[in-house]
Amino acid sequence: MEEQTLIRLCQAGDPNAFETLLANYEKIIYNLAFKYFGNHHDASDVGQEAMVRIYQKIKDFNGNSSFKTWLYRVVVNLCMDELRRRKNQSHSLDELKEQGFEPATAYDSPEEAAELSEKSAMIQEILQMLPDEQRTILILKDIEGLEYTEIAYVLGCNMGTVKSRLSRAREAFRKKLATQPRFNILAEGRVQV
Amino acid sequence: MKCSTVYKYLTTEWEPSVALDEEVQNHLAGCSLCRAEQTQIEGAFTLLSSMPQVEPTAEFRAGWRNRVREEAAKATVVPEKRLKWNSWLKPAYSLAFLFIAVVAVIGYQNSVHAPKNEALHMAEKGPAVSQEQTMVLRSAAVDVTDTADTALYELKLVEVGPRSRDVQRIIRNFRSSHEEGIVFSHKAKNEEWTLFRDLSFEDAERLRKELEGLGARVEVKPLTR
Repeated sequence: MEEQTLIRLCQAGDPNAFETLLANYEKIIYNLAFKYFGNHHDASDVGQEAMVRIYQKIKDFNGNSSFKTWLYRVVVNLCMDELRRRKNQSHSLDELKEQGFEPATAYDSPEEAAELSEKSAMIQEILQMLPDEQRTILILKDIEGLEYTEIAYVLGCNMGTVKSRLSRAREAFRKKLATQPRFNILAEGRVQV
Repeated sequence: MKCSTVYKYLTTEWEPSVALDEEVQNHLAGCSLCRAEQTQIEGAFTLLSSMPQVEPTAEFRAGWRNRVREEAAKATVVPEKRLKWNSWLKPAYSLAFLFIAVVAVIGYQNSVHAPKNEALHMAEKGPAVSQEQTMVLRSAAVDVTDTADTALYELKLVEVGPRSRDVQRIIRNFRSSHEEGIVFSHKAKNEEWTLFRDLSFEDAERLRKELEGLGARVEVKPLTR
């Protein structure tokens, strides 16, 4: 069945059509969440939440962008909301930190860490160090390969803003990269990755 | 062409797969600083664009489908208003905005007689069990009223039992279905806390039953404050 037909069925409230349609995008959505949070646990949680959000909002999709770009918009907004929510809560968790507890970022288990290549683990580490806005623009442009116009739609800003944010984000990424001993060779461009 | 113009071009317009603008090429030929800049940009870009995709977990694949089915079912059923055990606390939440850390609360509501008007604090941790068994889920509540329901409860997963993967899955699903959950871990002590705010007693009780149904040994006790 064609995508447009499936979308129309979803908009009419057909959950089976939704499952068929989103099965084609589940990997994209999961990976997008994974790049924001850097671990499978959060990627699964936020990814599931994103699916529910998409199900609830699909009626609003009006075809002004591609369906894929629209999905990016929904998922990116959800990830950003989640990051903001966590920051707002963090002040309440001082007591736990005093007791030696740390937020469970990075990898849930050694198996999970081993599953990722060292290279992608290091990229994740640096991405986690960047401000949310810069992380977002790098994920969308340099990792996911979206066009400027698509990014402008996803972020709800103009092309000029996208370009200036991208410039700042790439610079920040390179600076962080240069501080990582493991990345020095890569950063100096002596090795092709 | 100025170095700053070249830099702007390299960081916004250019991608390694695209041929360099002729003017920029000429500049780079005579400017070692900009060439070094370009090499670094190319290295970083190549690194990012080569980031591999990960495979979604089985939990995610099954989880989103289940949740969408639940959403679809909700749309056809008139929602029944559910009374939360702690709903009376809400005005106090909004007034004092006190943080309530509720971790997989298991309640025996009548078993606790908490001191009245006592400040909120996390309870003392229980003794650690063996490495694989120390999934400690704790709760803390607030002292906003003089009712015993403000007690703290702790659910401690003493033994995972024979179906550890299912136990982990249940806990993970529990977390994901409560959007306030934040996972905290204490690597040295191999403990993990999940914090929730405004978690219903019924939900926590359901978690306990599910875990015990899988053969896990769960210890429930009120905490001393």
